[in-house]
Amino acid sequence: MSDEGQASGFIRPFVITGGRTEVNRADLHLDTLVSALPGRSAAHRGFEHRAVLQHCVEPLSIAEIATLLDLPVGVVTVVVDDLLDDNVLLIHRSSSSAVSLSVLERLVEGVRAL
Amino acid sequence: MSVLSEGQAVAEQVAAVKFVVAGGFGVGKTTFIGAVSEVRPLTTEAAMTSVSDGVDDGSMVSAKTTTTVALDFGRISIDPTLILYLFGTPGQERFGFMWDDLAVGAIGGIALVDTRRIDDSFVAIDWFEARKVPFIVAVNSFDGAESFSLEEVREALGVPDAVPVVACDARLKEDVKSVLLDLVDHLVRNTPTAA
Repeated sequence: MSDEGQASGFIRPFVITGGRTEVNRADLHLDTLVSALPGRSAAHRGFEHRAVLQHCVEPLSIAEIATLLDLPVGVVTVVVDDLLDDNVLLIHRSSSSAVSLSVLERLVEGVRAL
Repeated sequence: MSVLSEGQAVAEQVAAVKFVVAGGFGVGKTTFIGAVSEVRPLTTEAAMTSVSDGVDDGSMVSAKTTTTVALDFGRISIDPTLILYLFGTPGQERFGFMWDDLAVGAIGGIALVDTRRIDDSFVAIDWFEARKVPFIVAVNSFDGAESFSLEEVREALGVPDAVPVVACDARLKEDVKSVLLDLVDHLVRNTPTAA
């Protein structure tokens, strides 16, 4: 491999994703929320998959997971896609640009309370 | 069973809504987001595929096919089932191509303006308009040297009367809250009352 010897200690992103760079789902974005389904494990997956699952005890966005684990967004997206395939993660309904008045009212209350 | 309540909480659907904070490099987007975020502004690296896919070209100094972009964002838990995310656009114009991903699902935008570099704001405003993301203009007068009236700024930017132009100090939490509320007001006015 021509890459050998470069940057020892740095795990190349394609190693974590098993060579995958594309995801099957079109609905995984930076602000997509996922959370771990109770009692599920990713024991047969690698370290990063297990770490993502462990962090998602509360709903987290893909952007937050990337920051917490210090991984590129693209890698986290593939890992999340894997975990959704494994039925160990729950994807929350994505935000919609057609937002309702009731959501806007909740935003007003929430921001005022800050 | 304690496990049950935990399981129910996890299975409950939580919704996220997203605002995009756009503006030129150094205009104060990170400061703005940090003023209201319940976590310190998080920064992540988003890998972006570059136009050139060729890796065999030996004449290239770097054969990288991706470039990484630092991305600022903040989080506000509105209530137990609603999270508001604030995403800052990468400041450099050359990363403009990745804004499209930020636009997906964005319900509102804030164009943050520095009156000393007003030209830097046009990219943000054009982008919100082209993507039909409802936005307001917030003039960041962080150095107290604000010498233009909001009407002058509106004229210089050429934004229509329907778009609110407000002033703020991005370092002050109350100011940033007020900008967010102005944006929500703007969104309410743009939402049809009949579903």
